[in-house]
Amino acid sequence: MTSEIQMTELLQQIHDQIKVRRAAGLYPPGLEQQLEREFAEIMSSTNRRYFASKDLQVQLQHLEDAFGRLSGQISSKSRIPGLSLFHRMVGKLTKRQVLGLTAQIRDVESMIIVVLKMLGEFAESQEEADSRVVRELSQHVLDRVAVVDHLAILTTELEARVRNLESRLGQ
Amino acid sequence: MGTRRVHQVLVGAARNDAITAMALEIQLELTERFESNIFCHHPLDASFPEFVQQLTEIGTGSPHDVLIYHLSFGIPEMTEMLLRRPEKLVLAYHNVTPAEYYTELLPEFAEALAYGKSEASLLKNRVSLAIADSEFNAEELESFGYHDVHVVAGGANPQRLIDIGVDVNFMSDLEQHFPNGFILFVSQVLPHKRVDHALEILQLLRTVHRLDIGLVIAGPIRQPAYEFAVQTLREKLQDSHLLLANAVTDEQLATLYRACLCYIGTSEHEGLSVPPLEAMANGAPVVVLGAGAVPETVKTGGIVLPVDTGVIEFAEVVAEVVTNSDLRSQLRRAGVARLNDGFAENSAQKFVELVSGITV
Repeated sequence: MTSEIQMTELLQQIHDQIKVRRAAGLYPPGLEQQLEREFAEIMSSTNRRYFASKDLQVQLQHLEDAFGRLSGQISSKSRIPGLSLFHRMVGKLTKRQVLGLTAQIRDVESMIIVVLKMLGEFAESQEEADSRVVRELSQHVLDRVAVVDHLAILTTELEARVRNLESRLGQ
Repeated sequence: MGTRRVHQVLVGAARNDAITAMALEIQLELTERFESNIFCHHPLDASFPEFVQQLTEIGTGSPHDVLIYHLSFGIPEMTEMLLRRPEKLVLAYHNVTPAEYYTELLPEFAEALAYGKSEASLLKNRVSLAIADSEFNAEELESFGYHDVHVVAGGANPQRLIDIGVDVNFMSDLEQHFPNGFILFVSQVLPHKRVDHALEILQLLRTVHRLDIGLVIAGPIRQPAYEFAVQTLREKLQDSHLLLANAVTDEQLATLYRACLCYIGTSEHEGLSVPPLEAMANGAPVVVLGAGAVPETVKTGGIVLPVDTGVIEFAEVVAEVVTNSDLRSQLRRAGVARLNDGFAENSAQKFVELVSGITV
Protein backbone atom coordinates (compact mmCIF):
# COMPACT_ATOMS: atom_id res chain seq x y z
CA MET A 1 0.00 0.00 0.00
CA THR A 2 1.20 3.54 -0.64
CA SER A 3 0.89 4.35 3.08
CA GLU A 4 3.83 1.94 3.44
CA ILE A 5 5.70 4.17 1.01
CA GLN A 6 5.16 7.27 3.20
CA MET A 7 4.25 9.63 0.39
CA THR A 8 4.60 12.82 2.43
CA GLU A 9 8.11 11.91 3.52
CA LEU A 10 9.08 10.86 0.02
CA LEU A 11 7.85 14.13 -1.50
CA GLN A 12 9.58 16.16 1.23
CA GLN A 13 12.81 14.30 0.47
CA ILE A 14 12.32 15.07 -3.24
CA HIS A 15 11.75 18.78 -2.52
CA ASP A 16 14.91 18.89 -0.40
CA GLN A 17 16.91 17.25 -3.19
CA ILE A 18 15.58 19.78 -5.67
CA LYS A 19 16.70 22.64 -3.40
CA VAL A 20 20.21 21.16 -3.21
CA ARG A 21 20.41 20.74 -6.96
CA ARG A 22 19.09 24.25 -7.56
CA ALA A 23 21.76 25.66 -5.26
CA ALA A 24 24.37 23.64 -7.17
CA GLY A 25 23.13 25.23 -10.40
CA LEU A 26 21.86 21.97 -11.87
CA TYR A 27 18.40 23.45 -12.33
CA PRO A 28 18.83 26.96 -13.71
CA PRO A 29 16.12 29.38 -12.58
CA GLY A 30 13.08 29.31 -14.87
CA LEU A 31 14.12 26.02 -16.51
CA GLU A 32 10.62 24.52 -16.55
CA GLN A 33 9.06 27.72 -17.88
CA GLN A 34 11.72 27.90 -20.55
CA LEU A 35 11.08 24.29 -21.64
CA GLU A 36 7.35 24.99 -21.70
CA ARG A 37 7.87 28.11 -23.82
CA GLU A 38 10.16 26.30 -26.24
CA PHE A 39 7.66 23.52 -26.87
CA ALA A 40 4.83 26.05 -27.23
CA GLU A 41 6.92 27.75 -29.93
CA ILE A 42 7.52 24.42 -31.67
CA MET A 43 3.80 23.68 -31.57
CA SER A 44 2.85 27.11 -32.89
CA SER A 45 5.06 26.66 -35.95
CA THR A 46 4.42 22.93 -36.43
CA ASN A 47 1.19 23.36 -38.34
CA ARG A 48 2.83 25.59 -40.93
CA ARG A 49 6.14 23.67 -41.10
CA TYR A 50 4.70 20.15 -41.04
CA PHE A 51 2.04 20.74 -43.66
CA ALA A 52 4.36 22.87 -45.83
CA SER A 53 6.98 20.12 -45.81
CA LYS A 54 4.36 17.46 -46.50
CA ASP A 55 2.85 19.53 -49.33
CA LEU A 56 6.29 20.08 -50.86
CA GLN A 57 6.94 16.32 -50.83
CA VAL A 58 3.55 15.57 -52.41
CA GLN A 59 4.01 18.19 -55.14
CA LEU A 60 7.53 16.95 -55.90
CA GLN A 61 6.15 13.43 -56.23
CA HIS A 62 3.46 14.67 -58.63
CA LEU A 63 6.13 16.43 -60.67
CA GLU A 64 8.24 13.26 -60.82
CA ASP A 65 5.21 11.19 -61.85
CA ALA A 66 4.38 13.68 -64.62
CA PHE A 67 8.02 13.57 -65.70
CA GLY A 68 7.83 9.79 -65.95
CA ARG A 69 4.81 10.06 -68.22
CA LEU A 70 6.45 12.54 -70.60
CA SER A 71 7.08 10.47 -73.74
CA GLY A 72 6.02 12.60 -76.72
CA GLN A 73 3.68 9.77 -77.76
CA ILE A 74 0.24 11.14 -78.58
CA SER A 75 -2.58 8.79 -79.59
CA SER A 76 -3.68 9.22 -83.21
CA LYS A 77 -7.10 7.66 -82.62
CA SER A 78 -10.13 9.79 -83.52
CA ARG A 79 -13.89 9.26 -83.40
CA ILE A 80 -14.27 11.14 -86.72
CA PRO A 81 -13.81 8.78 -89.70
CA GLY A 82 -10.58 9.41 -91.61
CA LEU A 83 -9.14 11.71 -89.00
CA SER A 84 -7.08 8.92 -87.38
CA LEU A 85 -5.20 8.57 -90.68
CA PHE A 86 -4.65 12.35 -90.77
CA HIS A 87 -3.32 12.33 -87.15
CA ARG A 88 -0.99 9.45 -87.95
CA MET A 89 0.39 11.34 -90.97
CA VAL A 90 0.91 14.54 -88.98
CA GLY A 91 2.54 12.44 -86.23
CA LYS A 92 4.97 10.91 -88.69
CA LEU A 93 5.78 14.27 -90.25
CA THR A 94 6.47 15.96 -86.90
CA LYS A 95 7.91 12.94 -85.08
CA ARG A 96 11.53 14.11 -85.30
CA GLN A 97 10.71 17.57 -83.88
CA VAL A 98 8.34 16.26 -81.18
CA LEU A 99 10.79 13.66 -79.92
CA GLY A 100 13.62 16.21 -79.95
CA LEU A 101 11.50 18.68 -78.01
CA THR A 102 10.45 15.96 -75.58
CA ALA A 103 14.06 15.05 -74.88
CA GLN A 104 14.89 18.72 -74.26
CA ILE A 105 11.90 19.09 -71.90
CA ARG A 106 12.94 15.94 -70.01
CA ASP A 107 16.44 17.40 -69.57
CA VAL A 108 15.04 20.68 -68.25
CA GLU A 109 12.49 18.96 -65.99
CA SER A 110 15.03 16.61 -64.47
CA MET A 111 17.15 19.64 -63.61
CA ILE A 112 14.11 21.44 -62.17
CA ILE A 113 13.36 18.46 -59.90
CA VAL A 114 16.95 18.33 -58.67
CA VAL A 115 16.96 22.09 -58.01
CA LEU A 116 13.62 21.96 -56.17
CA LYS A 117 14.82 19.10 -53.97
CA MET A 118 18.02 21.00 -53.23
CA LEU A 119 16.00 24.10 -52.33
CA GLY A 120 13.83 22.04 -49.98
CA GLU A 121 16.89 20.52 -48.31
CA PHE A 122 18.55 23.93 -48.15
CA ALA A 123 15.47 25.42 -46.42
CA GLU A 124 15.50 22.58 -43.89
CA SER A 125 19.19 22.85 -43.14
CA GLN A 126 18.90 26.65 -42.87
CA GLU A 127 16.12 26.20 -40.35
CA GLU A 128 18.20 23.69 -38.39
CA ALA A 129 21.15 26.09 -38.39
CA ASP A 130 18.93 28.92 -37.18
CA SER A 131 17.50 26.82 -34.38
CA ARG A 132 21.02 25.70 -33.40
CA VAL A 133 22.12 29.33 -33.12
CA VAL A 134 19.03 30.14 -31.04
CA ARG A 135 19.71 27.12 -28.82
CA GLU A 136 23.33 28.11 -28.27
CA LEU A 137 22.34 31.70 -27.50
CA SER A 138 19.64 30.52 -25.09
CA GLN A 139 22.16 28.29 -23.34
CA HIS A 140 24.59 31.21 -23.10
CA VAL A 141 21.88 33.43 -21.59
CA LEU A 142 20.88 30.67 -19.15
CA ASP A 143 24.51 30.20 -18.07
CA ARG A 144 24.72 33.95 -17.43
CA VAL A 145 21.46 33.90 -15.49
CA ALA A 146 22.78 31.02 -13.37
CA VAL A 147 25.93 33.03 -12.60
CA VAL A 148 23.84 36.08 -11.66
CA ASP A 149 21.65 33.86 -9.51
CA HIS A 150 24.66 32.42 -7.74
CA LEU A 151 26.07 35.93 -7.19
CA ALA A 152 22.71 37.03 -5.75
CA ILE A 153 22.85 34.17 -3.22
CA LEU A 154 26.45 35.11 -2.27
CA THR A 155 25.43 38.77 -1.91
CA THR A 156 22.55 37.84 0.37
CA GLU A 157 24.88 35.74 2.49
CA LEU A 158 27.43 38.59 2.65
CA GLU A 159 24.70 41.05 3.62
CA ALA A 160 23.65 38.75 6.44
CA ARG A 161 27.26 38.49 7.64
CA VAL A 162 27.72 42.27 7.49
CA ARG A 163 24.51 42.79 9.47
CA ASN A 164 25.72 40.26 11.97
CA LEU A 165 29.08 42.01 12.30
CA GLU A 166 27.41 45.41 12.56
CA SER A 167 25.12 44.23 15.32
CA ARG A 168 28.09 42.72 17.20
CA LEU A 169 30.12 45.94 16.80
CA GLY A 170 27.06 47.93 17.93
CA GLN A 171 26.95 45.93 21.13
CA MET B 1 -41.92 -8.57 -28.22
CA GLY B 2 -38.79 -8.48 -26.01
CA THR B 3 -35.47 -6.87 -26.79
CA ARG B 4 -33.53 -8.91 -29.31
CA ARG B 5 -30.94 -6.49 -30.55
CA VAL B 6 -28.42 -4.46 -28.56
CA HIS B 7 -25.85 -2.80 -30.79
CA GLN B 8 -22.84 -0.65 -29.94
CA VAL B 9 -21.98 2.48 -31.91
CA LEU B 10 -18.47 3.93 -32.06
CA VAL B 11 -17.17 7.00 -33.85
CA GLY B 12 -14.02 5.18 -34.89
CA ALA B 13 -12.63 1.70 -34.29
CA ALA B 14 -8.91 1.08 -34.27
CA ARG B 15 -6.48 -1.44 -32.92
CA ASN B 16 -4.66 -0.21 -29.79
CA ASP B 17 -7.56 2.12 -29.07
CA ALA B 18 -8.84 1.86 -25.50
CA ILE B 19 -12.52 2.50 -26.30
CA THR B 20 -12.51 -0.04 -29.12
CA ALA B 21 -10.93 -2.59 -26.77
CA MET B 22 -13.62 -1.92 -24.16
CA ALA B 23 -16.39 -2.24 -26.76
CA LEU B 24 -14.95 -5.58 -27.90
CA GLU B 25 -14.95 -6.90 -24.30
CA ILE B 26 -18.55 -5.73 -23.82
CA GLN B 27 -19.46 -7.37 -27.11
CA LEU B 28 -18.38 -10.77 -25.79
CA GLU B 29 -20.94 -10.40 -22.99
CA LEU B 30 -23.67 -8.91 -25.16
CA THR B 31 -23.61 -11.72 -27.67
CA GLU B 32 -24.37 -14.19 -24.85
CA ARG B 33 -27.79 -12.58 -24.43
CA PHE B 34 -28.66 -10.57 -27.55
CA GLU B 35 -28.16 -10.22 -31.24
CA SER B 36 -25.39 -7.66 -31.24
CA ASN B 37 -22.95 -5.88 -33.53
CA ILE B 38 -20.53 -3.00 -33.27
CA PHE B 39 -21.07 -0.22 -35.79
CA CYS B 40 -18.52 2.43 -36.54
CA HIS B 41 -18.84 5.83 -38.24
CA HIS B 42 -15.32 6.13 -39.66
CA PRO B 43 -13.99 3.75 -42.34
CA LEU B 44 -12.77 0.47 -40.92
CA ASP B 45 -9.50 -1.36 -40.94
CA ALA B 46 -10.07 -4.50 -43.06
CA SER B 47 -8.44 -6.71 -40.42
CA PHE B 48 -11.15 -6.01 -37.86
CA PRO B 49 -13.45 -8.81 -36.65
CA GLU B 50 -16.52 -9.25 -38.79
CA PHE B 51 -18.90 -8.00 -36.11
CA VAL B 52 -17.43 -4.48 -36.41
CA GLN B 53 -19.30 -2.96 -39.30
CA GLN B 54 -19.73 0.35 -41.04
CA LEU B 55 -22.51 2.46 -39.47
CA THR B 56 -24.23 2.78 -42.85
CA GLU B 57 -25.10 -0.93 -42.59
CA ILE B 58 -27.00 -0.65 -39.33
CA GLY B 59 -30.45 -1.01 -40.91
CA THR B 60 -33.75 -0.11 -39.28
CA GLY B 61 -34.32 -0.54 -35.56
CA SER B 62 -37.31 -0.80 -33.27
CA PRO B 63 -38.23 0.84 -29.93
CA HIS B 64 -37.66 -2.56 -28.30
CA ASP B 65 -33.99 -2.54 -29.29
CA VAL B 66 -31.08 -0.75 -27.65
CA LEU B 67 -28.17 1.28 -29.01
CA ILE B 68 -25.11 1.82 -26.83
CA TYR B 69 -23.32 4.94 -27.99
CA HIS B 70 -19.69 5.37 -26.88
CA LEU B 71 -19.18 9.13 -26.72
CA SER B 72 -15.61 10.41 -26.93
CA PHE B 73 -15.75 12.77 -29.91
CA GLY B 74 -18.41 14.86 -31.63
CA ILE B 75 -19.87 14.42 -35.08
CA PRO B 76 -23.12 16.25 -35.97
CA GLU B 77 -24.32 13.50 -38.36
CA MET B 78 -24.02 11.00 -35.50
CA THR B 79 -26.06 13.22 -33.19
CA GLU B 80 -28.77 13.62 -35.84
CA MET B 81 -28.85 9.89 -36.50
CA LEU B 82 -29.05 9.02 -32.81
CA LEU B 83 -31.83 11.55 -32.23
CA ARG B 84 -33.78 10.15 -35.19
CA ARG B 85 -33.54 6.42 -34.50
CA PRO B 86 -36.25 4.53 -32.60
CA GLU B 87 -34.06 2.37 -30.29
CA LYS B 88 -33.53 3.08 -26.61
CA LEU B 89 -30.25 4.88 -26.18
CA VAL B 90 -27.53 4.03 -23.68
CA LEU B 91 -24.77 6.61 -23.37
CA ALA B 92 -21.35 5.20 -22.48
CA TYR B 93 -19.40 8.32 -21.65
CA HIS B 94 -15.62 8.21 -21.99
CA ASN B 95 -15.09 11.97 -21.83
CA VAL B 96 -13.99 14.28 -24.64
CA THR B 97 -10.49 15.74 -24.74
CA PRO B 98 -10.50 19.51 -24.16
CA ALA B 99 -10.34 21.26 -27.53
CA GLU B 100 -7.64 23.75 -26.51
CA TYR B 101 -4.91 21.12 -26.92
CA TYR B 102 -5.62 21.08 -30.65
CA THR B 103 -6.65 24.67 -31.41
CA GLU B 104 -3.29 25.66 -32.85
CA LEU B 105 -2.19 22.33 -34.31
CA LEU B 106 -5.41 21.01 -35.85
CA PRO B 107 -8.18 23.64 -35.72
CA GLU B 108 -10.83 21.45 -37.41
CA PHE B 109 -10.19 18.59 -35.01
CA ALA B 110 -10.46 21.05 -32.13
CA GLU B 111 -13.88 22.15 -33.38
CA ALA B 112 -15.06 18.54 -33.44
CA LEU B 113 -13.86 18.05 -29.87
CA ALA B 114 -15.65 21.19 -28.74
CA TYR B 115 -18.79 19.84 -30.40
CA GLY B 116 -18.34 16.54 -28.54
CA LYS B 117 -18.99 18.23 -25.21
CA SER B 118 -22.20 19.77 -26.52
CA GLU B 119 -23.28 16.44 -28.06
CA ALA B 120 -23.71 14.97 -24.57
CA SER B 121 -26.16 17.77 -23.74
CA LEU B 122 -28.01 17.43 -27.06
CA LEU B 123 -28.60 13.72 -26.48
CA LYS B 124 -29.67 14.09 -22.86
CA ASN B 125 -33.43 13.74 -23.38
CA ARG B 126 -32.98 10.72 -25.64
CA VAL B 127 -30.81 8.77 -23.19
CA SER B 128 -32.47 5.98 -21.18
CA LEU B 129 -29.33 4.99 -19.31
CA ALA B 130 -26.09 6.91 -18.75
CA ILE B 131 -22.93 5.04 -17.83
CA ALA B 132 -19.62 6.77 -17.19
CA ASP B 133 -16.38 4.83 -16.93
CA SER B 134 -15.13 6.90 -13.98
CA GLU B 135 -16.42 9.18 -11.22
CA PHE B 136 -14.64 12.03 -13.00
CA ASN B 137 -16.67 11.39 -16.16
CA ALA B 138 -19.87 10.90 -14.15
CA GLU B 139 -19.42 14.33 -12.57
CA GLU B 140 -18.97 15.86 -15.98
CA LEU B 141 -22.14 14.19 -17.27
CA GLU B 142 -24.02 15.48 -14.22
CA SER B 143 -22.76 18.97 -15.02
CA PHE B 144 -24.53 18.57 -18.40
CA GLY B 145 -27.80 17.86 -16.54
CA TYR B 146 -27.74 14.06 -16.44
CA HIS B 147 -29.16 12.25 -13.39
CA ASP B 148 -28.61 8.71 -12.09
CA VAL B 149 -25.31 8.27 -13.87
CA HIS B 150 -23.86 4.81 -13.22
CA VAL B 151 -20.10 4.38 -12.91
CA VAL B 152 -18.74 1.23 -14.52
CA ALA B 153 -15.51 0.99 -16.49
CA GLY B 154 -17.28 -1.47 -18.78
CA GLY B 155 -14.86 -3.66 -20.67
CA ALA B 156 -11.74 -2.34 -18.96
CA ASN B 157 -9.65 -5.36 -18.17
CA PRO B 158 -6.23 -4.52 -16.70
CA GLN B 159 -5.41 -8.23 -16.32
CA ARG B 160 -5.85 -8.98 -20.02
CA LEU B 161 -2.10 -9.42 -20.65
CA ILE B 162 -1.42 -11.68 -17.67
CA ASP B 163 -1.50 -14.91 -19.68
CA ILE B 164 0.38 -13.48 -22.62
CA GLY B 165 4.05 -14.42 -22.91
CA VAL B 166 6.91 -12.04 -23.61
CA ASP B 167 8.19 -11.47 -27.12
CA VAL B 168 11.74 -12.81 -26.85
CA ASN B 169 13.06 -11.07 -29.97
CA PHE B 170 11.60 -7.76 -28.87
CA MET B 171 13.07 -8.23 -25.40
CA SER B 172 16.48 -8.83 -26.96
CA ASP B 173 16.13 -5.67 -29.09
CA LEU B 174 15.22 -3.67 -25.99
CA GLU B 175 18.21 -5.00 -24.07
CA GLN B 176 20.50 -4.03 -26.91
CA HIS B 177 18.92 -0.62 -27.30
CA PHE B 178 18.75 0.17 -23.58
CA PRO B 179 21.45 -1.87 -21.78
CA ASN B 180 20.76 -0.01 -18.52
CA GLY B 181 17.00 -0.20 -18.79
CA PHE B 182 14.18 2.13 -19.75
CA ILE B 183 11.10 3.84 -18.43
CA LEU B 184 7.80 3.33 -20.21
CA PHE B 185 4.81 5.45 -21.18
CA VAL B 186 1.96 3.63 -22.88
CA SER B 187 -0.07 6.21 -24.69
CA GLN B 188 -1.31 7.36 -28.03
CA VAL B 189 1.01 10.09 -29.27
CA LEU B 190 -1.38 13.02 -28.88
CA PRO B 191 -0.91 16.59 -27.60
CA HIS B 192 -2.86 16.22 -24.34
CA LYS B 193 -0.76 13.17 -23.35
CA ARG B 194 2.22 15.54 -23.07
CA VAL B 195 4.75 13.21 -24.61
CA ASP B 196 6.95 16.33 -24.73
CA HIS B 197 7.00 16.33 -20.91
CA ALA B 198 7.99 12.65 -20.87
CA LEU B 199 10.86 13.52 -23.19
CA GLU B 200 11.96 16.41 -20.97
CA ILE B 201 11.83 14.11 -17.92
CA LEU B 202 14.10 11.68 -19.74
CA GLN B 203 16.46 14.52 -20.56
CA LEU B 204 16.68 15.49 -16.86
CA LEU B 205 17.19 11.86 -15.82
CA ARG B 206 20.07 11.50 -18.25
CA THR B 207 21.75 14.86 -17.68
CA VAL B 208 21.05 15.94 -14.07
CA HIS B 209 20.72 12.46 -12.54
CA ARG B 210 23.31 10.83 -14.81
CA LEU B 211 21.09 7.81 -15.37
CA ASP B 212 21.95 6.15 -18.66
CA ILE B 213 18.41 4.97 -19.31
CA GLY B 214 15.93 5.34 -22.14
CA LEU B 215 12.26 6.08 -22.67
CA VAL B 216 9.83 3.97 -24.65
CA ILE B 217 6.56 5.52 -25.79
CA ALA B 218 4.29 2.68 -26.87
CA GLY B 219 1.13 3.72 -28.63
CA PRO B 220 -0.14 4.59 -32.05
CA ILE B 221 0.90 7.89 -33.56
CA ARG B 222 -2.54 9.33 -34.25
CA GLN B 223 -1.48 12.85 -35.19
CA PRO B 224 1.66 12.92 -37.38
CA ALA B 225 1.83 16.72 -36.94
CA TYR B 226 2.23 16.29 -33.17
CA GLU B 227 4.84 13.59 -33.73
CA PHE B 228 6.64 16.08 -35.96
CA ALA B 229 6.64 18.54 -33.02
CA VAL B 230 7.90 15.85 -30.63
CA GLN B 231 10.68 14.92 -33.06
CA THR B 232 11.62 18.60 -33.35
CA LEU B 233 11.90 18.77 -29.56
CA ARG B 234 13.90 15.56 -29.57
CA GLU B 235 16.40 17.12 -32.00
CA LYS B 236 16.64 20.22 -29.81
CA LEU B 237 17.32 18.19 -26.68
CA GLN B 238 20.03 16.27 -28.56
CA ASP B 239 20.60 13.69 -25.82
CA SER B 240 17.21 12.03 -25.94
CA HIS B 241 17.33 8.25 -25.78
CA LEU B 242 13.81 7.75 -27.02
CA LEU B 243 12.03 4.90 -28.78
CA LEU B 244 8.68 5.85 -30.31
CA ALA B 245 7.46 2.29 -30.69
CA ASN B 246 4.15 3.26 -32.34
CA ALA B 247 1.43 0.56 -32.13
CA VAL B 248 2.72 -2.66 -30.57
CA THR B 249 1.36 -6.20 -30.32
CA ASP B 250 -0.01 -7.53 -27.01
CA GLU B 251 3.13 -9.68 -26.64
CA GLN B 252 5.34 -6.62 -27.12
CA LEU B 253 3.22 -4.59 -24.70
CA ALA B 254 3.44 -7.31 -22.03
CA THR B 255 7.22 -7.39 -22.60
CA LEU B 256 7.49 -3.63 -22.16
CA TYR B 257 5.47 -3.60 -18.92
CA ARG B 258 7.47 -6.47 -17.43
CA ALA B 259 10.90 -5.18 -18.50
CA CYS B 260 10.58 -1.47 -17.68
CA LEU B 261 12.21 0.14 -14.65
CA CYS B 262 9.17 2.29 -14.06
CA TYR B 263 5.88 3.18 -15.77
CA ILE B 264 5.28 6.92 -16.12
CA GLY B 265 2.17 8.87 -17.16
CA THR B 266 2.36 12.54 -18.06
CA SER B 267 -1.09 12.97 -19.58
CA GLU B 268 -2.95 16.13 -18.58
CA HIS B 269 -6.40 14.76 -19.38
CA GLU B 270 -7.69 11.25 -18.73
CA GLY B 271 -11.26 10.06 -18.54
CA LEU B 272 -10.16 6.65 -17.20
CA SER B 273 -6.55 5.60 -17.99
CA VAL B 274 -6.18 1.82 -18.16
CA PRO B 275 -2.41 1.57 -18.96
CA PRO B 276 -1.23 2.32 -15.37
CA LEU B 277 -3.50 -0.51 -14.20
CA GLU B 278 -2.07 -2.84 -16.85
CA ALA B 279 1.41 -1.78 -15.70
CA MET B 280 0.50 -2.73 -12.11
CA ALA B 281 -0.90 -6.06 -13.27
CA ASN B 282 2.41 -6.80 -14.96
CA GLY B 283 4.58 -5.77 -12.03
CA ALA B 284 5.75 -2.31 -13.08
CA PRO B 285 6.12 0.46 -10.48
CA VAL B 286 3.82 3.34 -11.44
CA VAL B 287 4.43 7.12 -11.27
CA VAL B 288 1.71 9.23 -12.86
CA LEU B 289 0.38 12.74 -12.98
CA GLY B 290 -2.97 12.94 -11.18
CA ALA B 291 -4.97 14.41 -14.07
CA GLY B 292 -8.72 13.82 -14.55
CA ALA B 293 -9.70 10.30 -13.49
CA VAL B 294 -6.12 9.14 -12.81
CA PRO B 295 -6.19 9.54 -8.98
CA GLU B 296 -9.39 7.48 -8.64
CA THR B 297 -8.10 4.89 -11.11
CA VAL B 298 -4.60 4.44 -9.70
CA LYS B 299 -5.59 5.16 -6.07
CA THR B 300 -2.84 3.82 -3.78
CA GLY B 301 -1.40 1.52 -6.42
CA GLY B 302 1.31 3.95 -7.45
CA ILE B 303 2.71 7.43 -6.92
CA VAL B 304 0.12 9.93 -8.10
CA LEU B 305 1.68 13.37 -8.39
CA PRO B 306 -0.33 16.58 -8.07
CA VAL B 307 -1.54 17.77 -11.45
CA ASP B 308 0.62 20.93 -11.32
CA THR B 309 3.85 18.97 -10.79
CA GLY B 310 6.61 20.19 -13.09
CA VAL B 311 9.07 18.07 -15.01
CA ILE B 312 11.87 18.68 -12.48
CA GLU B 313 9.91 17.19 -9.58
CA PHE B 314 8.54 14.41 -11.78
CA ALA B 315 12.06 13.48 -12.87
CA GLU B 316 13.26 13.52 -9.24
CA VAL B 317 10.53 11.06 -8.24
CA VAL B 318 11.28 8.78 -11.19
CA ALA B 319 15.01 8.92 -10.38
CA GLU B 320 14.22 7.88 -6.82
CA VAL B 321 12.10 4.95 -8.03
CA VAL B 322 14.66 3.84 -10.60
CA THR B 323 17.56 3.91 -8.13
CA ASN B 324 15.73 2.65 -5.03
CA SER B 325 14.95 -1.07 -5.28
CA ASP B 326 13.03 -1.09 -1.96
CA LEU B 327 10.72 1.63 -3.23
CA ARG B 328 10.22 -0.27 -6.48
CA SER B 329 9.25 -3.41 -4.55
CA GLN B 330 6.83 -1.43 -2.40
CA LEU B 331 5.25 0.07 -5.49
CA ARG B 332 4.88 -3.35 -7.12
CA ARG B 333 3.10 -4.64 -4.02
CA ALA B 334 0.93 -1.52 -3.92
CA GLY B 335 -0.07 -2.10 -7.54
CA VAL B 336 -1.16 -5.68 -6.93
CA ALA B 337 -3.11 -4.61 -3.83
CA ARG B 338 -4.88 -1.88 -5.84
CA LEU B 339 -5.99 -4.34 -8.51
CA ASN B 340 -7.22 -6.84 -5.93
CA ASP B 341 -9.14 -4.03 -4.30
CA GLY B 342 -11.27 -3.00 -7.25
CA PHE B 343 -10.64 -4.60 -10.60
CA ALA B 344 -11.16 -8.29 -9.96
CA GLU B 345 -14.81 -8.07 -11.03
CA ASN B 346 -15.88 -8.55 -14.64
CA SER B 347 -16.63 -4.97 -15.64
CA ALA B 348 -18.07 -5.92 -19.03
CA GLN B 349 -20.57 -8.25 -17.34
CA LYS B 350 -21.54 -5.51 -14.89
CA PHE B 351 -22.01 -3.09 -17.80
CA VAL B 352 -24.24 -5.53 -19.68
CA GLU B 353 -26.29 -6.21 -16.56
CA LEU B 354 -27.03 -2.48 -16.33
CA VAL B 355 -28.01 -2.39 -19.99
CA SER B 356 -30.22 -5.47 -19.53
CA GLY B 357 -32.11 -3.51 -16.88
CA ILE B 358 -33.65 -1.25 -19.54
CA THR B 359 -34.53 -4.04 -21.95
CA VAL B 360 -38.02 -5.51 -22.02
